[in-house]
Amino acid sequence: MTLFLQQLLNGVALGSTYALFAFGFGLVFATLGILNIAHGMFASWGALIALWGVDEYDLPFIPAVVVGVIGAGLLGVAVDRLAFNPLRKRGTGLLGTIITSIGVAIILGTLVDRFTGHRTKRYPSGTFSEDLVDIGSLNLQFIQIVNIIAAFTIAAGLYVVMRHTRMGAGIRAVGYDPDAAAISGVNAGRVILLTAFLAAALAGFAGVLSGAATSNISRGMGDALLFKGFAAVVVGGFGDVRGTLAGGLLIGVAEVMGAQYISSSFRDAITFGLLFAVLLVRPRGLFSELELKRA
Amino acid sequence: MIAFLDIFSDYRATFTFGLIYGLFALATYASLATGVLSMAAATFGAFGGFSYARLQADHDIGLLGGLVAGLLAGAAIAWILSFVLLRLSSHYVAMATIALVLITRVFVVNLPSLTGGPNGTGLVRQSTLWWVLGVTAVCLFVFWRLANSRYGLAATAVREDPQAASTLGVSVRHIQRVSLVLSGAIGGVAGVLMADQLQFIGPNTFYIDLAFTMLAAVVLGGAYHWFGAIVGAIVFRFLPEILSDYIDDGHEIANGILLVIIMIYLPRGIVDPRRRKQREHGLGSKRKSAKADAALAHDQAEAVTS
Amino acid sequence: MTSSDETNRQGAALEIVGLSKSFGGLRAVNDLTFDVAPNSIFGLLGPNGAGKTTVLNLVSGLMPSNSGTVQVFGDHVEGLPAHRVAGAGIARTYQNVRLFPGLTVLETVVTGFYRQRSARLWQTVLCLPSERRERREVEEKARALLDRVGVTAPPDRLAESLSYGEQRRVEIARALATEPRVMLLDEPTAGMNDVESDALGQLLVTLRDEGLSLVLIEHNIKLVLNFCSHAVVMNFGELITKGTPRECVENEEVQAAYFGKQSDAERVQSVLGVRRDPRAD
Repeated sequence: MTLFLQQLLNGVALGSTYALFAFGFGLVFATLGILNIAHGMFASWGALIALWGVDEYDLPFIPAVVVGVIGAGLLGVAVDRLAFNPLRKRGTGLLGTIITSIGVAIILGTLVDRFTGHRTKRYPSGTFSEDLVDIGSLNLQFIQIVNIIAAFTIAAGLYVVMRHTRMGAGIRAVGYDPDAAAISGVNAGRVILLTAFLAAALAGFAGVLSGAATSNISRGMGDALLFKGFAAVVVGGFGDVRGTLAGGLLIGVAEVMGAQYISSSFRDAITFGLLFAVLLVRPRGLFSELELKRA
Repeated sequence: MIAFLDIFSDYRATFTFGLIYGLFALATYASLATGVLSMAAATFGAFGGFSYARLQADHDIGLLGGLVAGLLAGAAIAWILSFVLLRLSSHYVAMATIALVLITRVFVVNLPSLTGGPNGTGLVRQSTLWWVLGVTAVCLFVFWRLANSRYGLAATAVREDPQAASTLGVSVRHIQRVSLVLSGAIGGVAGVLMADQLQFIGPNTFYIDLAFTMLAAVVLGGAYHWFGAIVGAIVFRFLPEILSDYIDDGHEIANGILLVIIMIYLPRGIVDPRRRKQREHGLGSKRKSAKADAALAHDQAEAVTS
Repeated sequence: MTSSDETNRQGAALEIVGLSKSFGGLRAVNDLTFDVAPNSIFGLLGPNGAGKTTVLNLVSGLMPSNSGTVQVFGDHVEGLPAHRVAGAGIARTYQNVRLFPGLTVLETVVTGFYRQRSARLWQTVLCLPSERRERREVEEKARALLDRVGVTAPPDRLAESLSYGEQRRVEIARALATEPRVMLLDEPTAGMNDVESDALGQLLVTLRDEGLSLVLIEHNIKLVLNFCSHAVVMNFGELITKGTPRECVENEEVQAAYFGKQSDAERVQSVLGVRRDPRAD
């Protein structure tokens, strides 16, 4: 029983990272209609920038994280301006956007590889506490706790912003119909920039935490997050942050529990099997009420 | 002339694999031509490649037999998948096929008796560049014949305006199914050639890298014409190769930059029959077709809601 | 003679009974019933948003109805997917001409022959003479159709490069290629001037005389008065009146629907050149 609960907790921690990543990925898809294959690279870059902060500038962990997150956010804005905005003006559809995002992913990924020397890097020991925290008979690493708290807090924050602030309403309006939103007085351009920043920053945050938790800062880390985040958004649903959180947690728990109780080598099979099943039966996601309208 | 052949032999391998990627891109084009954005050709290739590897190991199958087996394996799995995939609306098909490629790898890793598991499986090469050229030529011939045929025109209609096509008596589902089976057949064949030329296949051979590369090749080369797939794949393979002679390490990034630039300035790709026809008829206005596209999208939306 | 009298003798070309469609709480089409006599031109009228295009979408199978039946010469087509409805002999054109981008005029019409052809994929790939012959025959038929509807542009021009009036005719040719028994046209003269509208009307009369039954959604009152034998008028998804075009136009409820207030009726009548029969008071 203890093992079950412990693994459940581990799954929740893992799923929290996936959810954090998925918030941004899903936001971009639901609002801007972009299936952004390059989103994983925002995570890698966030982790890398934070690492530089620690390595080169001796920053303590938290400021380094902040720098990494902001850096990732700015990268997201740059990518949107340079790559996606020209497409937006032409009304390019889903296919063209995916291809462009693949191109961006290649560019950003090659650069990550360059700076990591094609190896996985890690934060120097001592950057953050590696102690185990006791919770009754269970325990969690400090970073895992940070992951969980971050995911839930940010989910709550995003939910409040999207439902109860003008900015959130503007984001949802642009996602539903940019022209109608513009006519209603929403500054669509500003909303798009904000969304791009926020989504990439969230990915950067997920990247930093993931890099810390798994001691893996690399291009591959970002790619792995991309696929798990993709699965989380599909399983949990797009438009609602609560659904995405649930999806991420579900994926994380399924992965850890599956590895523990079924087979360690089949762990990914369960994740992607779940993904495929959801796409067949309920494509808009288990917890979503929205039907995907735009291309 | 001798100098040309020298250059040619240097790039022989690049060219061979360029053609094989071209076949994967062609497989992707096959379904894209009816509006199905599918990356399942990577999975079809996996079925073809691993079937061939197994048959070679167990039954000493020759290349021709292997190609036929790969074709049938790919077509069969595509036919089965079509019943699942075509129920989804177009945005979800892309995602479902990405998921499919992800899942395929997991199965490859976990079925070592069939695929060699994480260690992969080796093969004996039986093909040459001429074989690859021959197969490519046959596939291109098939597309050339289909282009203006009953099927080909129906495919264009289904891609451009499925509603209008259906009111002309074209079953959209049927045409898309046929296109998926075609994609499966070509993907299976491409998988066999890939396995044969690489002489080794593992879980990462028919994975996301291949899926994204072949999709990028189709769009780069021209997603509106069958020859575009080959052009795109060749450019995609050769560009980094040629650049790596001049620039260190920067060659892969060139593909990324190329994709972004092409999507902004030549969104319909290098080979674009409409652009050529517009020039011939002195139209030359991108804006006119963009407006037409916008009007069409508006109609399709209106037809549902008015 | 009313439309129903004629159809009772021969069987209606198109018979619609109790057709309804709701979108959520909105009743787009409500319990619509009318029939179209064979070899006639029938008008489907009503102000914008009345639900006319929805009726066409329901009849042609692009959209499932909530209830009601649709019969083409006695064959039930309600609930069938669009390609099967086309197979039953219903063809249509669209409000904004919907030609396939990138195809030439000839190719466009050839797409309409899909159902009439039987070439299989393997026959095409193997270059069999039967397939090549079919291709030639279909192209000849397509050229003949283009002639018949009066398209003068060369057949290898991009269809989307033609003038609007010619595009409309190409779309009609494409629809005719399916060898329909009933043709639905959605505002075919939208954007045309009097001369062009009249010419199109003449074309429709020719098609009718050759055996086709046509249903027209139209706003052009003159066209309707000149060429339609019967009509129904819709508003807010419901049928307001049916009868000859003249009867429809003179109907006060119809005038109110189009123009708002009954006090404007007289002004309307003078504009239309229609005078109220004083004996009707």
